[in-house]
Amino acid sequence: MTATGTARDEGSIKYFGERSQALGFPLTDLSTLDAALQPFADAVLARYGKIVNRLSFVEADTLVDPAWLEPLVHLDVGDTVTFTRRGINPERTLTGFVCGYEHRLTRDNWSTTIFTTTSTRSI
Amino acid sequence: MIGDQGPYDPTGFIEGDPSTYPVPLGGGYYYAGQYWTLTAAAVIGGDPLEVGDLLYVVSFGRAFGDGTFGDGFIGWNTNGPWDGIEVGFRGVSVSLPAWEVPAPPYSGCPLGESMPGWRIVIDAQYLPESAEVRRFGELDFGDELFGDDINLDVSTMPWNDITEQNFGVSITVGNTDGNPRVRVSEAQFDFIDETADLFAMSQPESWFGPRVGTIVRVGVLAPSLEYHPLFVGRIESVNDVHDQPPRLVQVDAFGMSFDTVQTLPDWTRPAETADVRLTAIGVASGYVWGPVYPYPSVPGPSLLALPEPENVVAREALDVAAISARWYVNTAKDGRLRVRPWPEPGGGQVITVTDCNDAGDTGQNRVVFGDINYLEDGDQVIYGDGAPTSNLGLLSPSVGLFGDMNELLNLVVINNKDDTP
Repeated sequence: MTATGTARDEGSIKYFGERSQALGFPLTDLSTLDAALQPFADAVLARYGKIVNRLSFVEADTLVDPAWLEPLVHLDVGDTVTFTRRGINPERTLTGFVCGYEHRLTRDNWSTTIFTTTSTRSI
Repeated sequence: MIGDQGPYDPTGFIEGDPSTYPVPLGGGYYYAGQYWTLTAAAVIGGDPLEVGDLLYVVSFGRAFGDGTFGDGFIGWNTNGPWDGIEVGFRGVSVSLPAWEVPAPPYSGCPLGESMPGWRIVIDAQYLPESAEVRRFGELDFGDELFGDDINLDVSTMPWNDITEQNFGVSITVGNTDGNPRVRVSEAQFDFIDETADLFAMSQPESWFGPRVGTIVRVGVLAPSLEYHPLFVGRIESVNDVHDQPPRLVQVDAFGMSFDTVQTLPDWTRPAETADVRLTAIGVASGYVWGPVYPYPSVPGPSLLALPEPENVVAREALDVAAISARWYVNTAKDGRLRVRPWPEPGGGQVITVTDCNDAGDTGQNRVVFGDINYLEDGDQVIYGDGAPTSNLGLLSPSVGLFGDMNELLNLVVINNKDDTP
């Protein structure tokens, strides 16, 4: 017998409709113990049940700002990126965790697109 | 002369006493790229070194107060000549497995004028022409590939610097949305190799250079000569498109986790913890690039048995086992597999980014970057001396703040597999 863990955020569903397909979900055919399924689903819901506004990517370029060099050298999945959108009122600061990146190195230039996933609720 | 300077017995080595230093072949000055092979174990620069390890000469310049009048110039001569008072030594341990061996000091090429002192190093594992490799007529049918060393494996194969002929590389790591199924890392290189000195297409020359299957890596050397790997992978394709001179060779490489993209026939597992299962999958897939990084916990969470024989792809089995434990599998920068908790908890370096290079909080002094064509128009390049251009954080030319439902999961469904035989 397979077992299932299901978690719903009724408030979010009422506004956005049921959203069950992001990030590779639903997850099926796992080897998780029956008793661990529901806590797993609850933890995912707590993290992603109210994610709308997010920091998607940041472009880094050593020609635009040479100080990028050190962070790019040490850049790794799991790093934290904090960005404040200025020029809007009120200003908005969002935080993302690095989940991927694309380096482009040519002579005298190192540019990188940093992709992030957020943990910030925004509904 | 640079390169191998012969053997050196470090028994009497005293840091700061040039009379105890190894001497370049033929005497004279030291130059970047010279190294000696140790004939005895020693601790140099705080690093324990073994017999056979390499000792590279390095120099960070003569500072005021070093030596006496007339001993040498104050300052730094990038690549030499250096005299004894200007130099130090840095060991490179070749006895370490390949994934831990750093690129030697001064290898690769300078990154460019805007990044003074930094070097990019692209090196590949292959046997130099002098090595003993299998040639036609040796061994029996099916024993080894021609050109393969019959004694070495990837953990001991030497790294060879191939940076000089490169002028562009792009590296893709991870994914764009935090999905726990992480795609394999990838690198693409453009090499100018006009006369096939590097990427030969004929044999036996191709045995002594990088080719399909060769492990290649990219890293940078900091001004302190500390090595930072960025990517390790195996060459998947070498494309020599005959068009017009110069000969441009495009090389694609996939990260080492690509080696786990193979089928495990009739795969079954007992009930066990996640760390045990992940290790078992790695072993069964023949994955050779070093041990997996420490698991988030040992023992990991318990997993159901997989009693029904099934053909599975090892990489998919790795992902399923990891996700079942609320972990995920990605690739570390030295190419080794790494398992992290999922959802990603963060915890690495904190990078603060701004779209504005002015600290003023209102008004026209603020410069907000939207879309600037900085590569083709030097007028808009903010070109500095390494100091941050903003006291608000690192300046980014483009930042994506999205409001969408791509990461929204308000109905989470997870189920497991039937574990009854």
